[in-house]
Amino acid sequence: MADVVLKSLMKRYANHVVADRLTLTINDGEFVTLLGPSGCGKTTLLRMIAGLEKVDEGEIVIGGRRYTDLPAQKRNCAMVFQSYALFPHMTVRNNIIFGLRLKKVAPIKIEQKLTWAMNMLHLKGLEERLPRQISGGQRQRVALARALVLDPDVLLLDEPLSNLDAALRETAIEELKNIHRKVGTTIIYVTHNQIEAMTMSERIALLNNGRIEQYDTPRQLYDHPATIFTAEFVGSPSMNFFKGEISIEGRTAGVRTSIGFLRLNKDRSQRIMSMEGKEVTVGIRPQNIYYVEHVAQRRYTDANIELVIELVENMGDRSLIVGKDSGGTLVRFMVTREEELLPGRTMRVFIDGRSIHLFDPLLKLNIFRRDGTI
Amino acid sequence: MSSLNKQVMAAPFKKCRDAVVKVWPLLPAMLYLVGFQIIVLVYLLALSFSSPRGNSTVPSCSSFALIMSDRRFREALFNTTLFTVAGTPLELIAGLVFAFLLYRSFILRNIIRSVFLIPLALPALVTAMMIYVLFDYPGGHVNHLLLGNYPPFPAIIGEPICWRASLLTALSLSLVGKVWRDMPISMLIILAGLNGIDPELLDAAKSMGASLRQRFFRVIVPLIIPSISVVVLLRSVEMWKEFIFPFVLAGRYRFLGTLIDFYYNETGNPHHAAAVAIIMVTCIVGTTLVLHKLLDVLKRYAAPL
Repeated sequence: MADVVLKSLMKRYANHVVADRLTLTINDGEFVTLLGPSGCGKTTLLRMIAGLEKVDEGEIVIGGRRYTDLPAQKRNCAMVFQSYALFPHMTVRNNIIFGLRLKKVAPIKIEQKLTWAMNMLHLKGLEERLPRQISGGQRQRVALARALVLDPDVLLLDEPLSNLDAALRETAIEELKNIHRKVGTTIIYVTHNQIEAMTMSERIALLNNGRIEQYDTPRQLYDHPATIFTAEFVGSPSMNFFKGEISIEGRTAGVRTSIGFLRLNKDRSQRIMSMEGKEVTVGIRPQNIYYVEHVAQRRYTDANIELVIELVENMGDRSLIVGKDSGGTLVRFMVTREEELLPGRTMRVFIDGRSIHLFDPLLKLNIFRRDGTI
Repeated sequence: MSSLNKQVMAAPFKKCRDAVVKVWPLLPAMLYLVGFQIIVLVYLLALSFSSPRGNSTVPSCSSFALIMSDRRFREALFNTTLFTVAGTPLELIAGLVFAFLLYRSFILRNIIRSVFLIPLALPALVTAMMIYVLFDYPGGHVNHLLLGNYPPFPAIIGEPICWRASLLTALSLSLVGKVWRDMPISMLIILAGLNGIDPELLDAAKSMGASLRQRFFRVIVPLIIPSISVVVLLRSVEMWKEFIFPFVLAGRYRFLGTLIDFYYNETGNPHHAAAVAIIMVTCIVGTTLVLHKLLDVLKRYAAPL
C-alpha cells in the first residue's frame, strides 16, 4: 500500500494534449476513480502511473519514491486491463502465478498466495483451464487475482467491468468493494461509467480534455458540481440547463429564466443579493423537479411551472418525462411508474429551490462554491 | 407409404445431398490436386520402379539399387541434408530478426517493409548470378574488397579466394543466396503472427515485472509458435527441393535437385532421375512428420514457465 502523488503531469501525442498539467493526490489505501468521457485521457494517465506510457513533464511519486522514469517492470504497480490480457497459452493457475515466478518467490509462498487468491475470488476448480475455457466474469476474476497476488503498492484497474453484462457487473462491483475492504490496497480505477464510479469510489477525479474538472467524493460531485461539465456528466438523466438572470423580488433573490422566476433558499438567496442583473446558467436535475402529487407539502421556495408532455421514456421503475412550457423550453423530469402520463397532457410541476445550481456562463464554474465563496 | 416412412427413406438421401453440397466448392481444388500432383506422383513412381529392357520397360527396383551404389547420390544426399539442416534454422532466424525489426511502428516503416520484400521480386536465377558475380574468382567484388582494392577498407587477405572451390564455402554461398531471397516469406509469416498478439498481453507481462528477454521467451514465442511452425515446415520443404542456388553457386557439388537434372539431361536416364525424385519426396515427407511432432512437443512445453 502507498499513497500516490501526481505533480503537474503532461502528456502530448503530436499536437494533442492528453494530460494537461494534472495534479492529484491519492491517499494510502484509498479507492479513487478516474471518470470521464472517451478520449479524456484517463487510460493514458493510468498507463503513465503503470510506466507503460512515457511522461513528458511532471512527476509521479508513489509511497514517497519517485516513479517518473522507473521502467514498468521495476514499479510495484499491478494493472488489470480492459481486455483482462490473460495469457491465452497459460492455464488459470499459470496466469495467476506468472508475476510471482518472475519475481522468484519461493514455491511454498507461491502456493499459499495462489490458494488465497483462488479462495477469495471463487476460482477453485478452474486452475487447469485455459482462459478461452472460462466465462467473462471468471476471466475478470483471474485478472484480478493475478494482480492481487503481487501485493502491489497500487492496483490499477482499466475499465475491468466493461465487458460484463449488467447483472454480472453488479456482482463484480460488490466483489471489488469487498476485496478493497479486505486487502486495503490503494486502487485507481478507470471508467466512463458513472454508476461504477459513484458506487465504488471514495473519491472521483472527473477528467475532461486532459484536465481534472473536479476531484471530490461521489456525493459532493453529485450535489455540488463545480463546473457545468461536472453537472452535465454526473447524474443520469443529465441536468436541465436554462439561461437566466439574477433578480430580486421583494426581499428574496432568485433567477429569472424562460420557465419563470426560480426562488432560491434563504442562505443562497442572500449570497447572490449583490449580483442582481448577472447572467447565469441555471442547472436543475430531473430528480429535483416534482410532479405535484409527489410532494405532500410544497415549500415556499418551490417554483411552479405548467408543462405539456412531449415524450415519455420508460426507465423501468420510473419514467423520464420531457415536457414543454408555454415559451417552448424543454424540461426533463422523473415520475414514478404508477403515473399514467401520456404525451399531450398538461401537468404542473414544482422545482425544489434548494437544488438549483447556478453557473457562470463564461467561466463555466458554479457560483456557489462549497467553501462559501462566490 | 406413411409420411413417417417417407421421412425415414429421405433422411440418407438428404444427408448425402448435404455432403455433396458441402464438398462441391472444393471440387476445383480436388481436380487440381489429382491432375497436377497425384498423377505426376504416380507417374514418377511408375518411372522410378521400372527399367528399360529392349524397346520396352519392365517393373524393377534396379534404379534405386543403382543410384544407392552411386557415390554421386550419396554425396548429393549428404549435401542436401546439410543444406536443409543449416538453412531451415537460418531462414527462421532471419525471418524472426527482420519481423521484429518491422514489428514496432516507426517512421517510414511501410517503405522499409517494401524494401525488405525486394528479394522476393527478383528471380532466383538473378539473385544467384548476383552472388556469383560478387564472389567470383579471382576478380569478384568481395575478393577485391578483401584484397584492399577498395580504400579505405584495409587488405585482409593476400591472395584471392575461390569461394566455389570448397564444399563449405560453396554451400555457404548457396545458403546466403537462398536465405536472402526467401527471407521475406519467413518475415511476413512471422510478422503476421506478431501482429496477431494483443499488445496488452505484453503490457501486462511488463507490468508484472517481465524483462524484455522474459517477455520474448514466455509470451511472444509461445504465441507465435503457429507462425514458426509454418515457416519451419515450408522452408524445410523448399530446402530439400532447392536447385538454382546449388546449381549456380556450388556447381562442383551434387545436391538432390541438381542430381535429378544430371541423371535426366546428362546421362539420359529418366528412371534414375525419377528414383532420386521419389527419395527427395520421401525425405520431405519424413522431415515434415518429424518437424510436426517436434513442434507439437514445443507447443506443449514452451507455454508457461
